[in-house]
Amino acid sequence: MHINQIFFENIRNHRQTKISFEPSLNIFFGPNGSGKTSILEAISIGTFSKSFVTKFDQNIVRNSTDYYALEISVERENHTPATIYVNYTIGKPKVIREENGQALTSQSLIGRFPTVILAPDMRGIIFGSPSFRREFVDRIIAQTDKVYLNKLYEFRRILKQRNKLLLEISKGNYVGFDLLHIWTQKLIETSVFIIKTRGNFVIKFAPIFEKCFTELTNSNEFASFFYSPFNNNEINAELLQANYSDEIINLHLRSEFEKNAKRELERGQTLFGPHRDDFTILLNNSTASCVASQGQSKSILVALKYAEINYLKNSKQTKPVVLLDDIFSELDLNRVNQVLNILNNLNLQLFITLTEIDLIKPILINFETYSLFKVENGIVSKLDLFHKSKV
Amino acid sequence: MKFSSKTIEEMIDILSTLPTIGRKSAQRLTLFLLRQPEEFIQKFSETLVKLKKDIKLCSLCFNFTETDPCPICSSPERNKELICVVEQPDDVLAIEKTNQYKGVYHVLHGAINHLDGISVSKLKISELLQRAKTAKEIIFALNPSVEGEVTIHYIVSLLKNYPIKLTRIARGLPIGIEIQYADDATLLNAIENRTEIK
Ligand SMILES: [Zn+2]
Repeated sequence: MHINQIFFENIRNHRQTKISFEPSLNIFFGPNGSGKTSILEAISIGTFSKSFVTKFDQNIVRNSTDYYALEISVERENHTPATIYVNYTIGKPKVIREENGQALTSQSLIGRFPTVILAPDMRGIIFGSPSFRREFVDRIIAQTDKVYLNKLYEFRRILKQRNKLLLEISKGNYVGFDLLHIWTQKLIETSVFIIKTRGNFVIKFAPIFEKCFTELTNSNEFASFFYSPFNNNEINAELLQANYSDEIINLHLRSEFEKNAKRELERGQTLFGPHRDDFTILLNNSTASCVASQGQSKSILVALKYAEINYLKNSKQTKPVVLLDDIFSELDLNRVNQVLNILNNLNLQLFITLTEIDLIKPILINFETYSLFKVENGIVSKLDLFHKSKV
Repeated sequence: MKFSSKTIEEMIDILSTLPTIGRKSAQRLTLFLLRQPEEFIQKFSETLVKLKKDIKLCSLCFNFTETDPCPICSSPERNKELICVVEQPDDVLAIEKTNQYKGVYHVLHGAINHLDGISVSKLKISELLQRAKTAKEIIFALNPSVEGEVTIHYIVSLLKNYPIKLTRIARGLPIGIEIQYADDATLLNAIENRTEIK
């Protein structure tokens, strides 16, 4: 798929912006705060229902206005067009519609137009808290498996209810052990599904990632990706061995809940479950966050994203669109060159932002077609291309 | 914007506590009411008071009613041994519209929801247990939410020693939705809750 056009109003510092895109490479440059990332945010909202910068839509609405609106036109692999409309007014739920006026939930939009995003804070996937890694994994599965996405929402709801009940019990407000037991059952049921799905995902994803890392680095080094739902490597290995069978996950979850029962009542909080899951990234058999140099960690991050692209490409009927935000803040010229070449060879539509256009000039010589946009104070203007003769 | 009148502000405050009414709509409604003739306001306020005074809960099914028991519970046409459990009075209206159901109802007035402070004691659950003693079948028609699920699960656990049939309404494809357009979760539910063809 590729995005033909986007039109949006009141997103960050953009009043009204309308851009027609190249099906291959699209470059946005401008100083920090000029509004180039907002263009990628708008694409993310139109394809994934939310921004990758903030969870809160009110932060996106342009100052002194109270709504944003966008319209994104997409062409699918079979050349059928699709348009998605998103309207958000502060204090109201976001409304997503398709071209026939039919309202869509976020769940039904997510996955229709797969996107892969690389943004500056994503090194957190290697160095940050487990939540970065969970988000990385959940985003990929959510775009390929609707049932998983629904179960994830369900899980979060059950978790909130159970935590509230635990809190009430811990404060002595309420005695509801019979009810707590039922919430625990429900939580375990959905947890089994989530752990099973994440586990089976990693079984497929890890070899793709390993291959991508080798291809990118051309070295003797190797990286690997593991799922660690339990704080016990033996149990994690056992689950993998058993292909994440329901019974074994259930068994271990039950014993964790029994073990934590007393402490949960004291703390008023669910202490174990998929909301605390982690994934382990290894570099040459050591935890990457401990041993990776700056350069190595960049290669790992790029390999993760490259693997994400390949995974989505393989499991969906449609190729993902790739958004690379502030690409030179993360990658040096050689890596940018490498990444753009690989993605260009895959025939993917690419959107990249950078501060200095000069940085990328030497690379652009290799590209037949691309579009170049200058962004200033929320105003986007299309520039002429550099011709080989001009550089 | 702020109105100079304290009464207008109070009216807006009251109206905006109503469900689905935001401050802006409350303002619009207040100005609308201000423009209405005296008789309209008279009738409006009388009806409002009567609504609270005359409408009570049926002592059997806890639906809103003017007579106790309600017309459904006192109808000789209705099978009192078949009880359909719902969350809200609106749900009774929805099922009644089908004109097919011949049993009686039991309105819980919500589902267990700790986040909204709805505990077991706030729902008409113990009353349902009383009625279950003389019933043959209880049909659960609660909303397909985690709260609805847990409420069913909880009530069923309390009824486990009753000699009674417990059923729940099927969740599946809505009529008129073609399979290719059904969302995955609905389709999955429909497959999981498939019925045998006899
Ligand atoms: Zn009644």
